[in-house]
Amino acid sequence: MAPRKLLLQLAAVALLAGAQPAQADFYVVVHASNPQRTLTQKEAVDLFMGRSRAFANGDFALIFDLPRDHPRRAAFYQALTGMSVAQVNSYWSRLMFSGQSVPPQALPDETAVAGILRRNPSALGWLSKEPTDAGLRTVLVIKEASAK
Amino acid sequence: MTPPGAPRVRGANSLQLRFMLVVFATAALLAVIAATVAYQFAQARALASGRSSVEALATAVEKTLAIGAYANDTVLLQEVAGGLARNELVDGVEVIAADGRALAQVMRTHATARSGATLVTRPLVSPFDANERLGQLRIHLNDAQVQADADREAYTLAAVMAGQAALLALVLYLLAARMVSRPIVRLASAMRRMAPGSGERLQTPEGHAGDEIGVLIAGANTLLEANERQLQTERRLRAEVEAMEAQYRQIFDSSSAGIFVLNEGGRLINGNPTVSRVVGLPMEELRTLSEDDFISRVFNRPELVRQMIDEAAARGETVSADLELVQLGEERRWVHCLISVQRVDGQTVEGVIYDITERKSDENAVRHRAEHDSLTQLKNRAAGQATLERFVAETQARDAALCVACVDLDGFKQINDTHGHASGDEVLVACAERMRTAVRRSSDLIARLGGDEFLVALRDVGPGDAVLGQVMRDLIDGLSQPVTLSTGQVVSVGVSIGVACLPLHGSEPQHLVRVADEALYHVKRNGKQAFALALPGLNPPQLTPGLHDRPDA
Repeated sequence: MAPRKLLLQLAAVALLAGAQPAQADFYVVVHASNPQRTLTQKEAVDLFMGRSRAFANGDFALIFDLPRDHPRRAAFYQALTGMSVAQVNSYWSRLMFSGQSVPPQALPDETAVAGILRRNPSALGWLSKEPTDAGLRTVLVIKEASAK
Repeated sequence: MTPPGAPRVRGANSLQLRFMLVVFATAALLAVIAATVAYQFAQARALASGRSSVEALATAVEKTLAIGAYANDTVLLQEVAGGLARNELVDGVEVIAADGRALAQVMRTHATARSGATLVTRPLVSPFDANERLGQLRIHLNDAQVQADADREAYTLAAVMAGQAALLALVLYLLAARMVSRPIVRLASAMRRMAPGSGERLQTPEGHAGDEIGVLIAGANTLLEANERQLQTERRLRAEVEAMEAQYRQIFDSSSAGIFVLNEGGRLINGNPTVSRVVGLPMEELRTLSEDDFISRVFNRPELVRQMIDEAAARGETVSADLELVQLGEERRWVHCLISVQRVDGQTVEGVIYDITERKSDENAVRHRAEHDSLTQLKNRAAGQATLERFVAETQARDAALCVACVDLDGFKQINDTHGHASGDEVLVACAERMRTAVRRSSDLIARLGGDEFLVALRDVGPGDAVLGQVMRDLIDGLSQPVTLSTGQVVSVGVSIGVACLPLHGSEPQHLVRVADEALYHVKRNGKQAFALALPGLNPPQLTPGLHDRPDA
């Protein structure tokens, strides 16, 4: 049922968007051995926005992000938090001011993210394409917010 | 402002001062009201503004605090709370988590105990989920500071309002002084300096031509002009009246008639110098008569004058009569007097008197000559008879008694023949004088009927009265005394008297004389030097010898 609806939506977006890059989902991914099966969007926000540093079982979570200038990063945060990238940057600048919280570590590209995720069981990151690698597990799919 | 010497309106009477007091009192009242209102208003506004600025602060940091609370960043929260608490309107800042934990707390040391302080609270909501409440921001207001600020602001505003009112009052006062009071003061002192009727006019000050001051001055000038015209008219009229008065005064003073005015009580109001001359009293004394009764002081018979006044008042016309004045010396004085009564403001009596003493004495002399015997100055026959008639009528009217005596000298003819008529005349004059002495009363009658015949009438004397015999004896004794003539010779005469009485012997004067005459002849026939009383009721009378009496002396 879900894939069928997704397809329909994709087709509709493709039809509407025309030359625009096709709307895509974002995938929050962990190491396959991570006991965390799924994440709610809220749990994902808490982890990515520095509120939470641990998975549900209490294990420390190591969060990875893509560089600030990554073409998909703004859309990801828009879809995840509903905030623009500027707002997210402002959020982090305030927290970084106290030195208590740090934003997720940025890796050069999705390949590097996928590599870290594959190697580190505590890692959590996001990808713009569904990972096909068996060593990785998607715990949350976030739909891209409609373009404004 | 005011020229030296001119009195100024001072103290509470000064319009300017009163205006100033009113203005300043009003200003003070307004200032108090305005300041009170302003104070209340400013305080309320300052309180609200203090609160709203804290609210604004809260709004400013709300987001950051929400982020801090979301990320559990207590350092950030503490930092922001500290920043908030540095504001002097804030006593303390707390950030409370949803589970009641204090995430951050900054309190001023002195304010910790305060519990009733005003709180500004803001809910802290997750930046990512508007439905998730993370906690609460609690800001404790520094009420004392807010109040102090509000008070300061209120005081400032009130002071500004009061100052404004005071300034306005001052400006008003200065303007009023300059535009109203000063011109009026100048006008007043200019008017004070002006002499009435001098033709001076008030000058309109520059810039006041069209306003109320100008109108006032124009009105004052019009009044001055009218005043002056009236003054001139009055002066002219007064001069005319004075001239007229002088003329009348001249007439009044120099009139040959005495003119006097009396009031209702008969006191002298005014009199001219001629009155003084005619009446014979100096002017000064006349003036003092104003406190006395003029009429009774001046006229011999004041009742006649009063009668004239009443008559003049009743008839409304002038009444005139010849009146005798009070005798001052030897001479009797007479005036012709005209009396008229004016009924204006009560009753005044106007009198005009002419001295007619001369005419009157001429008249008297003529009458005296006509009535008296020129030799003896006794009444002559006609006057004697007339007087007797009057006596008889009067006696009958009073039901009284009257004695009539006929006196005849004996031996007079011989003296006349022997010594001449001049000597006879001397004897007659002497006899007349002796008869006057014997009769004594001037009200009685002694008349010379002719030759050596005389008539005597004694009023209120009856036949039985002792005085009758006494007078008769005195007559006989007196007339019998020798008379020393101017030639040195001594002669003497005898006397016979016949007496008739009213009502005993009749009631007709002629009858009485005839009866007395018959008694006289009886005496003559029976020896002379005696008097006889006629017998009553006999016609012709029978003479009674018993009554033929010789005087004792």
